[in-house]
Amino acid sequence: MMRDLWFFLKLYRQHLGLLALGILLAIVTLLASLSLLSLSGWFISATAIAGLTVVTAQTFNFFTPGAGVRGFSILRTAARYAERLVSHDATFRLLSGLRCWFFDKVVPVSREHLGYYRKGELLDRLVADIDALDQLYLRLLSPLIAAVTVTLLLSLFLSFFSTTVALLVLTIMTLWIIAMPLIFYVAGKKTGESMGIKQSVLRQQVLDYLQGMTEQQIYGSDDASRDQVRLMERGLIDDQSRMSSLEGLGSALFVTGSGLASLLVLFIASGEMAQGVFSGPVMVMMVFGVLASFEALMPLPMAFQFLSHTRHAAGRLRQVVSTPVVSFPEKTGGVITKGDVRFSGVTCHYGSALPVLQELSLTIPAGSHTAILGKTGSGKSTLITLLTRGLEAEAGTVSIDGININGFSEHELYRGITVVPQKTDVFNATLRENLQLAAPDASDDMLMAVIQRSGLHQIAMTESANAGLLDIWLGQGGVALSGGEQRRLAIARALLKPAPVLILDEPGEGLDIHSEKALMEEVLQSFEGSTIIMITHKTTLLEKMDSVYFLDSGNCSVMK
Amino acid sequence: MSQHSASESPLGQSTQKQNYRWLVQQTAASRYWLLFSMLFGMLNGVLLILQASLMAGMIHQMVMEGVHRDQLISDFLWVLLLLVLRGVCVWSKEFFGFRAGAAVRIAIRKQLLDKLRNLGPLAVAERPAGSWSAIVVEQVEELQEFVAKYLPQMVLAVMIPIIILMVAFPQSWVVGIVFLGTAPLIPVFMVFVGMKAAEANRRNFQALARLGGFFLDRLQGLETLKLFQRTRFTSEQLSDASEDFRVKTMQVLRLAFLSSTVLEFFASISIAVVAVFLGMTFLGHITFGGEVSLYTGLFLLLLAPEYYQPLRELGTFYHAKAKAVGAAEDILAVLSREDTKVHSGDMAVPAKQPLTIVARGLCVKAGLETQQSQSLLLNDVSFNLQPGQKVGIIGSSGAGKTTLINTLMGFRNYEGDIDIAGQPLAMTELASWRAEIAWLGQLPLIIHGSVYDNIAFGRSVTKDQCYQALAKAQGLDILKSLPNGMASPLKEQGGNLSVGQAQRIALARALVIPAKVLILDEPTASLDAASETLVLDALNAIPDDCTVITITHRLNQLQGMDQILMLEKGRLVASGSPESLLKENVHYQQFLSAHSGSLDDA
Repeated sequence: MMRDLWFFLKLYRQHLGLLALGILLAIVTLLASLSLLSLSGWFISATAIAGLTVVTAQTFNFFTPGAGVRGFSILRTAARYAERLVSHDATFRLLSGLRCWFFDKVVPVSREHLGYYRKGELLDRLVADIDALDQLYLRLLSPLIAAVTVTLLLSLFLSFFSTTVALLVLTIMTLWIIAMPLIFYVAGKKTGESMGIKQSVLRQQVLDYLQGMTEQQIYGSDDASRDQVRLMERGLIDDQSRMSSLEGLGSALFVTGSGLASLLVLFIASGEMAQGVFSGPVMVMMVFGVLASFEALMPLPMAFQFLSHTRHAAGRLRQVVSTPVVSFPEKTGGVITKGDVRFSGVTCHYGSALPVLQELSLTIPAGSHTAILGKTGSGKSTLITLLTRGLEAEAGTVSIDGININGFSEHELYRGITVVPQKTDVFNATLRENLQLAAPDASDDMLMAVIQRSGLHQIAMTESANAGLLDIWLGQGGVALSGGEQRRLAIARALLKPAPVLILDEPGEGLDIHSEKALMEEVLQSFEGSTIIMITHKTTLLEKMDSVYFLDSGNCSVMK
Repeated sequence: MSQHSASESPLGQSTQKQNYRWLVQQTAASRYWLLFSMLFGMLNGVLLILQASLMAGMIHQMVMEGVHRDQLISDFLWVLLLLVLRGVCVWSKEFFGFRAGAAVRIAIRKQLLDKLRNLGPLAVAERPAGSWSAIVVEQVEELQEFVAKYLPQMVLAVMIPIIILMVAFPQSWVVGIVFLGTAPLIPVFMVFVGMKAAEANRRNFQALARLGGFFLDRLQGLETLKLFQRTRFTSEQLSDASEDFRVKTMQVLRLAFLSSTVLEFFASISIAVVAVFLGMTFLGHITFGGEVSLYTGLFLLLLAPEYYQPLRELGTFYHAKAKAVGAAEDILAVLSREDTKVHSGDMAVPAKQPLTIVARGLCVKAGLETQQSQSLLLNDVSFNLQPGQKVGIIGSSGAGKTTLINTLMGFRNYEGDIDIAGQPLAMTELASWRAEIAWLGQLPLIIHGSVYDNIAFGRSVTKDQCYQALAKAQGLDILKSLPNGMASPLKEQGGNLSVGQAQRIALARALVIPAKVLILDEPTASLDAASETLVLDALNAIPDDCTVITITHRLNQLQGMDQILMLEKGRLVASGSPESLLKENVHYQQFLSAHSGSLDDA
C-alpha cells in the first residue's frame, strides 16, 4: 500500500534542499515558540524569587534571559514567515515537476488505453490526484517530521534537569504521535470512504435529475426524483456529521490532552522540586514548555486522515503510468517518401467484443486518392488508429513504402503522415498557437493564407477587427467553435503540414455540401502528389477519388 | 470540477460584498445553531481563563510559599474537571457549527433545484448538465466551512479578547494597556489580514486552477499533440508556465504573508513585553506598575497568547471564506435568473373530444427569460394533426424543429393559437396535457438505478408492465446480458449498455403507460444500423390510434408518414403527404437531394 506513496516520494528528491529547508524552518518556528513561552515562565518565576530580597534582586542577571525572550519572539516571527515562503515555493516547484513528469509518462501510453481515461471525469480526477500529491509534503511530511524532532529535542533538553520528567514527556508525546493519527485514521476511514461514495452518487443523481428534466416533467415524476436526491443528501450529511464529530473529538482531545499533559508534568515535577532535584523556576519552565510543545502535535490527526486520500490518489496515478506504452525504435528503419500504404491480413479487436477488422488486406498505391466508405461503427476509424499506431493489430501487418510501420521512429512516422481526425482538439490558446502546432515556424502571413483557404476567417465575423484574428482566444473562456469551424481548423492544420500520406476522417462532418466541396478542393490542391485516404460514411465526395472501398463488418470490398 | 469554474477574473469589490451579504442572510435559518456554537466557543474561553488562574495559583503556592502538592490535590482535580469541560465545549462548538452549515446547505440546494425546475429543461440544456450539477453539489459544499467555522470564529475573535481584557486590567493595568494598545489594531488587522490573506488565497487558488486547466486541456488534446510531434514542446511549455505562475504567485504571497506575520509578531512580542515588564517589576527596576505577585505574572503570561489566538484561527479560515464567496457568485447567478414563463391554465384536456392538435399562426420568440429578443424561432406556422396520424418534421438544423415540439409539450411560450382537442393549450393544465404525451429524445437518458427504475421512472407501474413495455421496445434481449434481469443496476450513464440498448430502454419508458401522442426527436440519430432497425421495428408496432410526431433527418423514414411538416428558418415551407410533396414542393425536393448520399440511410 505504502509503496504507491514511496514511488512518488522519490520524485521529491529533485527539490530535496528546498524541502529540507522548509522542514527545518518549521522546526525552528516551533522551537522558538516553545522557548519563548518556557523562558518567559522561567524568567518571571526566577525574578519573582530573586525579588524577595534586595541583594538577590540587585545581582540578578536579567540581560541574558531578557535578550533571549526578545530574540525568541523575533525568531519565531521571522522563521514562520520564511517557512511559509519556502514551503509554498517548494510546493509550486513540486507541482510543476509532478505535472511535467506525469505528462511525459502519459505521452507514450497507447491511444487505446488512454481513451479509457479521456472518458468523463476520469481525467479531471487525475488532475486533482496530482494536486493531492503535491500537498503530501505540506500537510503530512513536514508536520510529522517537525513533531518528531520537537519531541526528541524537548525531551533531550528536559533530561538535563530531570530524567523522570524527560521520560514522562517523551512517553506522552510519542504516544500522542503514534496513537492519535492511528485512531483517527482507523475511525475515519470507513466514514471517509462512504462519504466519498455518497457524494459521487449525489452528484450522479443531481445529474440524472437535470438531464432527465424533460422526462420528469412529461411523466410527472419530478417529486419522486427530488425525493431521491433529498434522501441521498441526507445520507451524505449524516456521514459528514459523523466525520465532523470525529474532528470535533480530535480538537477536544487536543485541548484536554495538552492540558492534562502539562498538569501531569506539574504534578510530577512539583514532587521532584520539593525534593530539591531542581528549582521552582525550572518547574515552571517545564510546564510552559510542555504546554507550548503541543502546537507541534496539533496538525497530526488531520494529516493522517489526509493520508488515506493521498494514498488512493497515488495508486490511481501509478496505475496510469504503468499502462502499456507504444514503443518506437530510436533509429528509424526507413523514410516515408512515396506513401505506399498496405494492410495485409489485419485482424484486431477493441476490448473483448467481436473483431472490428478481420483479416483485412488493402493496398493503397502511392499517390492515389482512396475513399473508404462504411456505415457508422463499421471499423473505418480503426484503420486510422492502426496506421498511426494508436492500436496494435493482433495479426497481420501494416506497412508504408514496404516497411512495417513498427520499424519507423516516432518522428519519421508522424512526419510522414498528416491526419485530420474525426474529433478536433481545440486548445485553450490563441488561434495562432492552435495553428502553429502543425507548423511551429510558420509566419503570420503563412497562417493568414491558410486561414483564408480553410474558411476559418469566418470566426472573425463576431470580432470587431480582422487584424487581431490570430490572437483570438479559442477554447474555454474564448470563442467556442462550431462543429463546422472545428473541421476547418483541423483542415487548416493539415494544410500547414505537407506529408506523403494524408488521412481524413469524416472531413465533411458539420459542413454543408458547398463548404465541404470547396474545402476538399483546397485539400486536393495541396496534397495532389500525396497518398490520400479519406474515411467517410457519405457518398458526396466520391467522384474526386481514384478508388473507393466499402467496409462492412470487418471486411473490405472494392466499389470503384 | 469546481476548480475550473472558479472565477478567472478577480471579483469586483462590490459584487463580493453583495455575495457575502447574501451568504450571511442565508444563515438566518440556522441562527440558533450558530448561536450555540458561539456560546460554547465563549464558554471555552471563560473556562480557559479559570484554568489559567488555577494553575498560576497552584504554581505560585508551590514555588513561593513552599506548599506541597499533596495539599493542592483538590486544585489538581479542579483543573482536571475544567479540562474535561473544555473538551466538551470544543466538541459542542464543532457540532453546532456543523449543524448550522448543514442546514444552510440543505436550504440552498433546495432553492437551486427548485429554481432549475422552474427554469425548465430548455434553460438547463443551455449548458452541459455537469456544470449545473457542479454548482448544486460541489459549490454548495464549499459553503460548509464558512458557515460552520468562519462565522462563529468571527464573533469569538472579538469577544474572547474583550473578556481577557476585562480580566487582565484588575490584575495589572500596565499589562492591560499592553493588550489594549494592540486591541484597536485588531479590527484593523481583521480588515487588513482579511483582505490580504483572502487576496493571497485567491491568487494561490487561481494560479493552481489555471495551471490545472492548462494541464487538463493539453492532456485532452494529447492525441493531436502526438500526431504533430508537439509533445516535447508542450512539456516544456507546461514547465515554463508552471515556473511563470510560481514566480508571479510568490511575488503576491511574499506581500500577503506579511500581514499575518504582523499579527504573529504582535502575539510574540506581547509575551516578551509582559515577561520582561513583570521580571523587571519583581526585581524592583520598574515601580510604576504597582505590586504584582508570581500568581499575577504567570496568569497574565498564560493569557497573553490566548489573547491573539482567536484572531489567528480566524486567519486560517479565510480560505473558506474566499471559497464560499466565490461559490456564492455561481449560486447567485443561477438563483437570480428569471423563471421561464410558459402558458398554462387550469382546464383539463377535454376527455370526450378527439385529440387533435391544431396550430394557427404560431410564433415563438428566441430567448427564454425575456421577451426582448425579436428574432423568431417559429414564424406563422399553421398545421392540423388528426388523432392517429404519423407526422414527420424535417428541416436543416436551426430550422425550428425542436422548438416546435418543445412548444407543443408546453416548454415554451408562444403567440398565435395551439388547440389541443379543440381547447387552447394556453388554458389547459399542463399536467393534464402531458399525461397524454410520451417523449423520446436523441440521446437516451439512463439514470442511476435498475432497469425497472429506468422504465418506471418514478411512476407506479408493475414489474410486469415494464416487461411488456420492454418487449414492445424490442429490448428483452438486453435483460439476458444483465445479471439480475429487471433489478440489475445500470452503470453511470448506461456504462454497461450500448447506445442502442439504452435507447430501447428509453423507448420502453415511453411505452410503459400507453399515451395518445408520442413525440420523437431524432430517435435513431445516435444509433448503429442494427439498433436502428430494432427501434424502427418497435415504432412501427405502435397502435394506430396513437399520434406519432417524429423529427428525423433519415430519408428512409419519411415514406411511411401520413404528413410531413418541413421547416426552414422558422417558417413552414412544406406540408402534406410525402407523395404529394415529392411531386409539387420545390423545398422538399431540394431537401431530398441535399440529404441523399448518406450510407446510414441505405
